[in-house]
Amino acid sequence: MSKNVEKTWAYYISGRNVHLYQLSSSGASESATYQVRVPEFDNQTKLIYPSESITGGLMFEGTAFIAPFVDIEPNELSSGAQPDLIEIESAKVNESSHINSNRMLSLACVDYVKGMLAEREGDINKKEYFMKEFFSKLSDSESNKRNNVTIQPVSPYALR
Amino acid sequence: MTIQEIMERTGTNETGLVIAWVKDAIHLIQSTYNENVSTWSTNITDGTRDYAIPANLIKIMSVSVKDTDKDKYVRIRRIAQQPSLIKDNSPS
Repeated sequence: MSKNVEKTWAYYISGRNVHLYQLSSSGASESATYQVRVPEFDNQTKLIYPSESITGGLMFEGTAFIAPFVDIEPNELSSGAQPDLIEIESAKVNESSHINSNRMLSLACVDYVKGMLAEREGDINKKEYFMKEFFSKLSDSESNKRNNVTIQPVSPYALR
Repeated sequence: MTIQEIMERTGTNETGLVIAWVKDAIHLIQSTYNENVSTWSTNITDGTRDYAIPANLIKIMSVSVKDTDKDKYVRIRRIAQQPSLIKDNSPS
């Protein structure tokens, strides 16, 4: 049974794999042959291979290339409900396929394509301009999800 | 927005190339921001250290292990430095 996993498990990224370890305190019954000591842990902590099987025990969370193209416009509600998007297979993507992202990111994709076209023409300055626009739209899209308020004190000698 | 609309806005008629560039752009977006987040789970096997990172994962946000005591997935820490052990032939 695994418990306190945030304190007793750790991982190391090795290329396309993760190495999963359990942390073991000194004095445990593990054999010295499979104990690993690493500098970032104290001398009392050792790493061992997982000592139990857990069904569905390891979970990754991250961004992914999921359904990049869909059959209908993803930014419009369907009779007031979320649109029912169906992914288009990579080999079947054509001119009528929709990009599965919000409007701002779709506009960013337009800038990206313009940038690539400029690069193909050998106009690097133009490409840099469109890539700047691309990242600017990414920032706009991201900031649309947040609403931060910044309060700054006014200096007593400030012009008002 | 359709591929057709992108082609009209950019003034090109090369469909295949535009699709490829849009894929590149989406990849770059996913690599830069947490736009389309998902989770993948796999089994942990006793004595097995190596687990493949999901093929379509672009940016790892967290790795977690199931706390069977509480029936919850809890984020675990990442080891920054490479451990001295390369391979253990008799882990148990």
